[in-house]
Parts: sequence; structure tokens; C-alpha cells
Amino acid sequence: MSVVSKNLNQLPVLGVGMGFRDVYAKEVFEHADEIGFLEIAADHFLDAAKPRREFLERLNERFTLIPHGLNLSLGSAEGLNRSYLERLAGLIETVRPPWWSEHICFTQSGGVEIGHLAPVPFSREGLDTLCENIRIATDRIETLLILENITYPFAMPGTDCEEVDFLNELLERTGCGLLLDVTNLYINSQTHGYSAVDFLKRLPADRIVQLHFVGGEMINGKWVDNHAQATNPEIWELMDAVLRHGRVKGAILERDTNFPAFDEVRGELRQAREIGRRHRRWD
Amino acid sequence: MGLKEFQNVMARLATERGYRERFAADVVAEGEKAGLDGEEISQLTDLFPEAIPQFSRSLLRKRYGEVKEMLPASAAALGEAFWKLFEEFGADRPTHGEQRHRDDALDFARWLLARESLPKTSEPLRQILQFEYEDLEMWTRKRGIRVRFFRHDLGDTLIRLRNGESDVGYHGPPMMAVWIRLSPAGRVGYREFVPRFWFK
Repeated sequence: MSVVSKNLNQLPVLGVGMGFRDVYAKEVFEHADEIGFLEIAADHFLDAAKPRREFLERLNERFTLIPHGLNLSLGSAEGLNRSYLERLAGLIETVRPPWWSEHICFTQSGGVEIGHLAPVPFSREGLDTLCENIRIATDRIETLLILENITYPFAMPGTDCEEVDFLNELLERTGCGLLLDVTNLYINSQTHGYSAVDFLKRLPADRIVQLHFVGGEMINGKWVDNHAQATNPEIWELMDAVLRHGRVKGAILERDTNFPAFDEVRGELRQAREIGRRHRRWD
Repeated sequence: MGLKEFQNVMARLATERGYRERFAADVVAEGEKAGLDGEEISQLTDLFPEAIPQFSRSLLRKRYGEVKEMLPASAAALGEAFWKLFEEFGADRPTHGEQRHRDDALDFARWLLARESLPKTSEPLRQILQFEYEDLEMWTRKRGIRVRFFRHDLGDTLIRLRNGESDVGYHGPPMMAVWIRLSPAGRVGYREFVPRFWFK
């Protein structure tokens, strides 16, 4: 077992949790015993005013919090977002999580903010760019970084290898863990016509630290990761395969909009917990 | 051309409708103007006319989701028109700044308020939008007091909108709204006042 794998193996098992959203601020405390951990969108807590910082302290006292970055732009060839990195480092020092996460993407280039996550070409140059930016980020923030796969509607021009090979080399070169978004994996497999299970089998089981799951939606004949639906049966099925394969430490329900009653959220957390228990990933 | 320059082109294609349309009209000419090489131009040609506009639309849709969360009552009141208006607003306006979703929502609300007519043109709708704008904008102030008068009790209307009603007609007495922020580190306090007695 490599040093990286040993380190990843020693991470705590957090079980099943959810992305914290203000709309559920009361419910997460009321049902804290059913929530293994919370993932917080870093942007919602950067430069927070005092009441927000106090609320973060309350959350941190009760839950293990995992900061999730949105705008570091690890895939930008012009370099990552340095000011964001500094602010993120401050948040991570405050929260002291076992790991933090960011996306394999770029969000800004040439002074233009894209407003969301854009894919990087699966190529040598794309890989070198990511590795250099990740080196800068992990020099600044020592806590383990895990990288998330995003959806991509088309292969970015310049792509000359398969996503799974790109991902494996990226993990190998950076020593990072993987935040496998099961929904994104499913949507990409549908968009690009490959087998999600075959893709999964080619990923190193000991590198999959955390999962994201939520429903996807078919709009105008295309799958969209709008984070606005209950988890689809196909995604539950894939999640079962992922939890059978990977030594996953935690899974997060990532609902971002069209928020249902909290009982529905609890039902999804319960279902994910059951799948993980079946594969002995957590109690 | 390197990845950096190529990403600059992709970022503009994703966020600027005018640039995207010029590119779609003549990928080779615009690609050469942007300094792309033959292979890059050929790869981009394959992505027009469908993939790039769809990609841009999907990014805009995600941006819209964030803005909708920040202006929930206006979004509920406008219904499907909210997306159509945001599509028009966002087509040529990339987000900016560290608080980009909040700033995006503020810019969009400002843009809507500056329009002479809104779908479902009505003063109550404009007032709801004005209220959400003032509320959000107050968080950009380091300190200050703001007092605004509204023609009807928006508290009641906001509750009805959150409960899924779409009628934003006149309801209840007029309202005075007061926001206060004493320091940059403090919260924005809010109180609303309505007359105890009013005409039915």
C-alpha cells in the first residue's frame, strides 16, 4: 500500500450527511443524530459577518464540517484564484476538517468569470495545469484535498485521452483523494455513451474518499445535474456499485434547489446509510 | 495557441452572446482572429451550432438557480417569466466579484426595476422586487439605516408567495420597512411597521 493510500485509509469514517443549506438550518440541529456530517459551500461562509461566523461555530461544535470550494479554478491555465485560496485557507483553519474538496474545472479565464464549473481538456496540458495549481493550493492548505468530477456536455477541444485515465493520473500525481459525484458519473455516462460501472472499475478503490449524490433530470432529451430532484433509481443503483467498490468514508446528499420537506431528505439519507451499511462502509 | 488563450476564448463563448453569435456565423474567421490554430478551429467548428450555445445556456441556467434563491418572492411572483427575463439579462453579462451570486441578483433586480414594463405589470410586483432588492443591497453596506415605504403589507404577500400563490394584488395596509446595520461585522436588523387600523 502506498503512503497516500495509507493516509487516506486513516481518515475518519463520517457516514452519510448532507450539503448544509440555510433553508434547513433549524432541521439539521433537530435531526443531528441522523446526519453523519455536513458539507458547507465555502462561498457561503467566506468573509462572513459576525452572526454568520457565530452560526458556523455552532455548526462546527455539533457536526464534522467539510468545506467545499466552488471558485478556486484549479483548471485555469492562467493560475488559480489566489485571493479565493487565501480566504479558503482561513475558513479551513477555523473549521479544522479531516479533508476539503474542490472541482476539476476552471471557473475564470482572461478576467471573465464563467459563473459555474467549466471542464478542462483531458490532455497533457490540462493535467499539467491542474497539477501545478493543486501543488500551490496544497502547499498553502495542508489538510487533505479531494477532487470532484464534474459533468461535461462535450469533450473540451484539446482532449486526447479518456476521462478515467486522466483522473487516475491526476490522483496519482497530486496525491489527492477523489470526491466521486455519483450523479455526475451517471450523467456523463449517459451523455457520452459509456458504462458507468466499467468506468468505476478502473478507478482506484482506495482513493474514493467521499461521494455526492442527488437526482438528475432529463430536460429536452439531455440529462442535467440541476441538483433539484430526489435521487433517481438509476443513481441509487450506481451508488450501490460505488459503495461496493470504493473504500468510501462519507457520502453527501447535494440538494441545491427545489428543496423538499425535510422528511424527504431524511428518507434519502436513510436509504444511502442502508446501502453503505450493506457494504460495511459505516455503521 | 496554448491552453490559457484557448480558455480565454471558451470563457467568452460561454458568457457573451454577441461574441458567440459572431463565432457561429464564421468560426474560421473568428477563430483565426482569436489566434486559434487549424486543429482548434476544426474542433470548435464541430461544437457549433449546437454544443456551445447549449453549454452556455446550461451555465446560465445554473447562475439563474443561484439568483432565484436570492430573490425568491420575485421569482415566485414572476413565474416562468423570471427565467426568460434572466436569460435576456444574463446573455451578455458575466458574473463578477467575490460575492458574484449576490451581485448578480442585485444587478438583475436593478435591471428589472429600470424596465418600464414587466410581465404581469403591476405595482405590487414592482414593490416586491423593490423590497427584495433593498433587503439584499443592505448587506453590501458596512453600516447605515434605510427606511422605505411600501403601498401594502408585503409581509403578508411574501408569505402567500412562499405558500405557492401567484396573486400579487393589493393586500392589507401600507408598510414602513426599516433596515439597520451598525457595523460591518454585524447583522442587518429589520423591522416592519403597519398601521394598527386600516380601511378594509
